[in-house]
Amino acid sequence: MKSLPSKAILILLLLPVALFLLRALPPAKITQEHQSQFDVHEFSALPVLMNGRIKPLDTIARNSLLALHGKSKLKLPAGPDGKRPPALTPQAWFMDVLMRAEVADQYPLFLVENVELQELLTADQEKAPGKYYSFIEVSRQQSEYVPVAEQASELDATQRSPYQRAVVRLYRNVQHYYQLKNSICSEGSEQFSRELASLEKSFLLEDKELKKTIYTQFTNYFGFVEQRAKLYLIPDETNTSWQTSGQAGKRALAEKNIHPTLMLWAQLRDAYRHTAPEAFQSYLGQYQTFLEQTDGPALYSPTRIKTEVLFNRISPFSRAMEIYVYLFLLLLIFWLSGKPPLYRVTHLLFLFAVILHTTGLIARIYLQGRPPVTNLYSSAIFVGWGCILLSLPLERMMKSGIGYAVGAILGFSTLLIAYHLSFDGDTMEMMQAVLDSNFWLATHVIVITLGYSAMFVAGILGIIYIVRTLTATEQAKQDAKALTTLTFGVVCFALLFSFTGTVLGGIWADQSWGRFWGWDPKENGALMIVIWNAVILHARLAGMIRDRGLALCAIGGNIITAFSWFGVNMLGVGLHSYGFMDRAFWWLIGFTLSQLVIILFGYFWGLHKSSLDHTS
Amino acid sequence: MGIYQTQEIYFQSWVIGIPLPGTDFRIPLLPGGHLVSTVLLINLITGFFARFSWKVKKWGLMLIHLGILVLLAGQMACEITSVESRMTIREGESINYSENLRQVELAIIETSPNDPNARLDNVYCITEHRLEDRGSITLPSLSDGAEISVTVLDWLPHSNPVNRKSVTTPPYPGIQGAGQFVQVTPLPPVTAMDAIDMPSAWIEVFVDGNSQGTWLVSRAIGMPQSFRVGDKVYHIGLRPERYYKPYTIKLLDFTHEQYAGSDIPKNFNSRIQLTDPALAEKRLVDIYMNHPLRYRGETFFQAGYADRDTTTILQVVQNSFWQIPYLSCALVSLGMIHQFLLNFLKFIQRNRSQA
Repeated sequence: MKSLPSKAILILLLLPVALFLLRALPPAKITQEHQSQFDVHEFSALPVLMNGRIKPLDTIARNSLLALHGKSKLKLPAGPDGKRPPALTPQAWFMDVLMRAEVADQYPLFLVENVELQELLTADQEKAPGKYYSFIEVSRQQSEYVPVAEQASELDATQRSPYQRAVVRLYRNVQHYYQLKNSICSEGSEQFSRELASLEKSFLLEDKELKKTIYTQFTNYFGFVEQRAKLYLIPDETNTSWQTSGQAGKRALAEKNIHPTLMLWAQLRDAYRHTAPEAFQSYLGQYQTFLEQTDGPALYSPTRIKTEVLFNRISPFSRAMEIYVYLFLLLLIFWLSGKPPLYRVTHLLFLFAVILHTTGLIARIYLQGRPPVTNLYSSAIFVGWGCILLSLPLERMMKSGIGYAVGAILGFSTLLIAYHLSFDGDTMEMMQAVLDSNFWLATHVIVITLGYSAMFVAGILGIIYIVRTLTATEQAKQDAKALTTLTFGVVCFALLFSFTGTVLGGIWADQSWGRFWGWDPKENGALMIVIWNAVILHARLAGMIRDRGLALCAIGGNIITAFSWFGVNMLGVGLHSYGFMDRAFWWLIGFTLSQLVIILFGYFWGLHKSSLDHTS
Repeated sequence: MGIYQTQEIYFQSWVIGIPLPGTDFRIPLLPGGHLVSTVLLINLITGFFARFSWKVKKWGLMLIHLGILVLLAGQMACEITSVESRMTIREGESINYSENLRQVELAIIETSPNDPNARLDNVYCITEHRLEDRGSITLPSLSDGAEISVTVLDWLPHSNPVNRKSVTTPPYPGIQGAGQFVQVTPLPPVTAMDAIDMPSAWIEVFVDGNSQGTWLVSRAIGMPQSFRVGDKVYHIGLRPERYYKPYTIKLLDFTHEQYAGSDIPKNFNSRIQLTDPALAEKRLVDIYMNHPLRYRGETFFQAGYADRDTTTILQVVQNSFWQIPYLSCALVSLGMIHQFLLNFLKFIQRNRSQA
């Protein structure tokens, strides 16, 4: 290493970063035999309405695959020749779901983790129980699991057994999938565009009896589609709303005029089914032209759709996570080896991560048209962002990489939490009516969330204090002193933010419910943080705790914050429980235990050290 | 245990105790929310004299603590005095009372159907607390009314009414009304979040000293039961406790908006007409998410809906101390600004002296 100039080291270290970022820029290559002939990416950029939000098909494809399959790619089993085909990207998979359902039905899509349910699904088959099941395999056992699911659905979510939960989950996933694949037309239609063409011809028919028969058939058909379709595919420029293909079909019957986009969707589907890439490309072009020519902005915002596709592709938060890991490893090497050029690289890397994290956050604000925190997922992202912002001044004061380490650890952990929360579906879902107030979302929620950030920063500083005081060198003592000052400062900051945030929350509650305080679990959680901070400050100022005590109390703050953030949502009661989940319960318990262990260890190590000091 | 019970036991109490079996005595175990707050309050107040120094430098800190003191005191006062109730209104219906779902009252309504001059009914109500104590209750007689008294024979805080099997003998002689066909079995009080108790009582009613029989009244029996004495007809029933208002609220329209292509609620809106003859008020008000109506010291907010979006449920919160948090907020903010300015000045001075 010594022979290398520091610039060379710098380049060597930044190279892998540049490489993995570049990886994200071009769209992923489609290697499937069938799909590779089509412009999957242009198709995925088409806007549709689902669950109240207009989004590109790309987003629906990604979210659906993640929700149903638990992974961002779908691995296919080996073919008869023993060769494994390449894994399907969400976009390629989704094209099959929409337009070649009979093929998609065979993909091992549905993730089933519950062993009991796995056994049920493989009861009368030769297949050994596994984690993934195709729609066909699941349908064979429909009569077995559907009654269980319907029964369990009546129960309160908290009262279901693990088996019931798994069954309900599968039931809902199958339903979701079924609605998706019936979105353009009934999955069984061989050539939907031809059927539509015959309908168009019948508009001109003279024979009233025949006309009536055809109409009745189509009315039933569109009624069937309307009941099932999940996607609102058809942009209706006349009253700037979106319709399902079933609704559009019914309207076509009433107005004796088939909407051009309904026909185009049918033609796209048929071209895809019958492997006609040129025809597909031409219909896609026609559809895009139609969207451009109609009053786009009233129906949807083309720039938003484009931004969302780009945002999905780059996935800034996943990239930032990778950088945080890399950064932390570099810091470890730096501390062990003490090479200054390494430290210089961390400046750049950290700046880079901050830019990525911030860009992602801003992109979400733009796409959603909302303040940054609207649900549990976005709160995780924002807590992480607050942590990295706080760690910048820390690094300026410590100048030894500790601030960056704090930022990297917390940035990574919060983004990891966010990633796991994203399995539930669209992370930019529409707001429940009760939360629909941009003013309070931008004030109360932001301030409270920054309070969480500060709590976690103080907590990790406490842990670093414990680690740093394991040795008793002069440098370690200096660092410990500095750490104490910083922890105290951050605790003050946390108190300020959580107190202000809680009071703002009370005022919001008074404005909308007529009472400032209602002992709601989320309110209690926020109050616990405020009280804990106040206790730490008063204990410190009154001399009840010293440096080590402050560090231990700050670590205790981690537990309280984690509980206030996630624990109260698990209780599933109260006006604030907008994000119920049980998956994370054991993680929370584990986290709490780990923090307790650190506190106990730190406490006894302190006792041990002071007894050493006394004897020497 | 539901939020409501938890609040009552742990926060809105002075002492948390466990009952000594067989007696009404509770062994005090932990201090309740009110006691803790009171001790905190006393500590804060005495702190002002014992610990704080009155220098300008410390004013910021003092203001912050004064703000917290005000907040605590205000919240305690609010918790002790505030009353929550509900108004359930169908579209087109006018209502002049709200109901407390957690408490019932025994209502006795005296009507004179044959008297063309009688324009108003006499309504007598006995609160749940009084019914719990059992025993005999004589109602204050009104000028044109009879003297009515009620003897509470049995009180069941939560019960399950079922049809009486013919083999079981009635618990009391001379049973009238629903009690002839229905029997009630006591149940432990409910704890689930949205569940409510179904209290029942066996009562004997006297009009002008004459017994009118023994009656079973229960919240589970929706319709009032009636009997006639002379030309007067009496209706009796156990109903959620009512708070009558000097004004009426008429629901003109209830709307439940959803986001396009989803069942995620976007907004709930109750368009009501408020009519207050005493204050000559008559106006249209929209009550919707985050936009409650404040009127005569009460806040009405959109809490729910029923009957396929044709009935609105408004929560009514009476809270005379709602301004306190704002005051305390202002105090704490002032204190923080003071503290910040002081530190900022110090910082600038230090920088200058260094330069």
